[in-house]
Amino acid sequence: MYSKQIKEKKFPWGGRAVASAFPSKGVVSIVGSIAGGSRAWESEEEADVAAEMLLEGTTKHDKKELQRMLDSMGASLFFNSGSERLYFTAKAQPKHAAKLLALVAECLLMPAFPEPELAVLKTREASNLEMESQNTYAQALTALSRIVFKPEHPNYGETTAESKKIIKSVTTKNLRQKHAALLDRSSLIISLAGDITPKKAFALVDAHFKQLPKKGLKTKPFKKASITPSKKTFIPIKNKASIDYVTGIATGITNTSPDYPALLLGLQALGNRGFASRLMKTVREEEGLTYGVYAFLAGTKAHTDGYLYIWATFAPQLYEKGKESIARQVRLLLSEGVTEEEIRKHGQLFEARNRVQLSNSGAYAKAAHDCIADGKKLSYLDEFPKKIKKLGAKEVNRVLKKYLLQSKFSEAAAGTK
Amino acid sequence: MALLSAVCFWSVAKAIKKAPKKIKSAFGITEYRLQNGLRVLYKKDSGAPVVAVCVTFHVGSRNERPGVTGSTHILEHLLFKDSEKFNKANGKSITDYLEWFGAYMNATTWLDRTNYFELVPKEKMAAALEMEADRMRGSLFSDADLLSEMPVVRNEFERSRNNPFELLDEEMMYAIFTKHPYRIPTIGLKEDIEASSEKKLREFYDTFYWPNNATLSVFGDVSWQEVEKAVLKYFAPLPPSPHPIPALSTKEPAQAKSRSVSIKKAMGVTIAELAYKIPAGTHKDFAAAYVLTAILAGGFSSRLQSALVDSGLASAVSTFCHPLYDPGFANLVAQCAGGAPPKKVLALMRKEVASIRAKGVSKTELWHAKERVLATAALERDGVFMDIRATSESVAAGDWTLGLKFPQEVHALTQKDVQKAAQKYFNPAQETSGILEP
Repeated sequence: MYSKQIKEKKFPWGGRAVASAFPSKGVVSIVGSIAGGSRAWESEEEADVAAEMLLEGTTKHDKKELQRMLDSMGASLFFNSGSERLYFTAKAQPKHAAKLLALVAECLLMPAFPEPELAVLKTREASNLEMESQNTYAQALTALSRIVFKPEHPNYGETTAESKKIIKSVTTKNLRQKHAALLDRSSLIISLAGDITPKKAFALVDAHFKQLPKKGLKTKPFKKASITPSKKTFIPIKNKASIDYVTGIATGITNTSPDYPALLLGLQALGNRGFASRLMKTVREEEGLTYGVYAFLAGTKAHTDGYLYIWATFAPQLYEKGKESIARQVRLLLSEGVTEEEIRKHGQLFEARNRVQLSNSGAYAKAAHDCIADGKKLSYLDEFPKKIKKLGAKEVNRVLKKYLLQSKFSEAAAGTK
Repeated sequence: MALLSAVCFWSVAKAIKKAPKKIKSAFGITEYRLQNGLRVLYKKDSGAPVVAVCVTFHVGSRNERPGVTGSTHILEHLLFKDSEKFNKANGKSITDYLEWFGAYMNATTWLDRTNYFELVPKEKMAAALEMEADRMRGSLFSDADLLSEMPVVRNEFERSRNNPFELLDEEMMYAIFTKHPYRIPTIGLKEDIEASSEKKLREFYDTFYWPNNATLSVFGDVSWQEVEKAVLKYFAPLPPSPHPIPALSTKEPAQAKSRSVSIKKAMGVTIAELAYKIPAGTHKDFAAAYVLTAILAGGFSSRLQSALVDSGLASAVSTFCHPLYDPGFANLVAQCAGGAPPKKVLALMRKEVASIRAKGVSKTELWHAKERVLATAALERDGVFMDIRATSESVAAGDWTLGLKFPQEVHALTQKDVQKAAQKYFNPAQETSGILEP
């Protein structure tokens, strides 16, 4: 029972922490977040820059000093932005846990957003975006997200050109003002796992984070996605030996929807990561058309409705055949439905794989964090796999027919035809 | 015929299932040896209710000769096809059998080894061992399997062509090594991959895939008694190879002067790379070479981070320094930014290397590098799955204790040791530089 191994604490100042003394010797993994994310900013790119700038210096320590402090601990620390929250992940040896948490709090509380560092970061980001423009998977997925979502939706991706434009317009003044306005200690969630006792973990979180302000910027509202007309797009990129292909549709549901577990299991049967799925067995194993073909339920959070998509890579000469093969398998799934035996085995697989995935401190810390961030009780970690295991074929087929609207699927691909 | 005789003799003799011989214990791991030569590493770890299993075959692309390059990798794919006891006909195919129990399973091929691994719920440990034992000698792959798998292998090859870093690395390896098979990409040469056949692969399989050329590791929430029982039941009956496992005799000649490669290809990125020859993973100087690369391009405050990334000339720097079985290489890679000319970036990289050769490293730099190695050593073993994968790399490099001893070796290093390594290995005569630009 995972939830029994995790202790939870709500502090008088509003923040919450969860900790488990998962016995990975010599490691403490930290996963935390605070309200923010791209919905609180003008764009996804601006939110990403704001998150990255937190490690570019504070009013107490400049960038070089921060870097030296992290290296003196041999620690890792990264900030990144999601659509709803600003995240941080860190790892260190247990003897450095206190110092590392103090540093995280300092980066959040007193970032300097120095002008020269922003200028350098903009140069680096421009180079990264240039590389992204040649990434066939990233380009195809962004294109699909722009077909199935409206621009105000958190899952609508920015094009490389848009991101480049946004980067140029980011100012330190704006970053400082917005970051200061959105910090709200009552929204803080920190999860620690590994070689640390919950008692010590809670004392450290209390000591270092209670001084965060209690503000909170309002996030931009958005409407749930509705089904858009089916559209196909191909992004030509020169000199590519393999084409990335994605096809899918918006679901309009969050991970709190009653249909979510059955849809998740149904998509697992269609194309889970591994070999035991319909798509891998046919498109890869029987027909030898691809190295990998998978189905995902993506961008689906507690307050954000997501989308489902299938992803595969094909040699240009097998591209059309590969697409047809995927379409055939989806048709078969919808016409024949999943069998009771198939669902029983996939339910079993889901439960066991969940156990397997939670066998390191990083994954454990993240699972506990996400549970709290989604507003669920820790017991969800134990209950959800059981719920999945109890699902029957009838329910899964009902949900697949409801959301896997094949005639309305959109497609995006990138590469050289 | 020789093969048949040896196998028949073993079939008679196999009735005697002697307990595995205990060889040594260190760092919580115990090494055993079966009569057929299989090495078994066992570690009890009750952190989670799972067991990790890994079979490391001591065969990688370094063991391939011209004409059969890519064989180790293709075999890795084919060993997921039918075997004697696990096949589609009896409803227990290799790809399905364990996965339905929730196992995460996969395999990887590299220069010195191929490893097949599973992370399974603890009650399925014996099932994982049964399957691994069966495909060690009982794989039934055929020409039909090869035919159906070839487009899959080709697509893996094509995907790697989309990656600019992999493209440059491949050209770099051709320049770094002139004779040693490390120069050939693990995935193989396109013409060899296309000309592969069941006959060639079967010959390769029958040469290298034997218990006396493998190490089985079992880490997790399971007792040695349970492991021993399953090992005796499934692995002990396998015969040892009827021939000695061929040893590689090719040695890379000493490099006398610098080399360079250049690729002109529009891939959205400009890359500058420097590589140096370093000793094998088991050599006493390896730790100093590793720390040297960590000071140059590891962590948040490395020399190249400061000279290239913090100055906006590069968007990222990275380093690779991996313990290999034979003398290998370490590299420093920069993804150029802001239109920085790659030659200028290479010059700055060389300047930092030269500075260490001439003036050495600071106390603080060495202290930070040591802390990072300690942290990395712990992080690499966060959970049984990561632990067993890290151990597999040490097994492949020739000493399973290598990674576990490494923090102590690094801890003992002095500033002088690191400077000496820079002078001995990171010198212009042993340098290979590479550029990929539009």
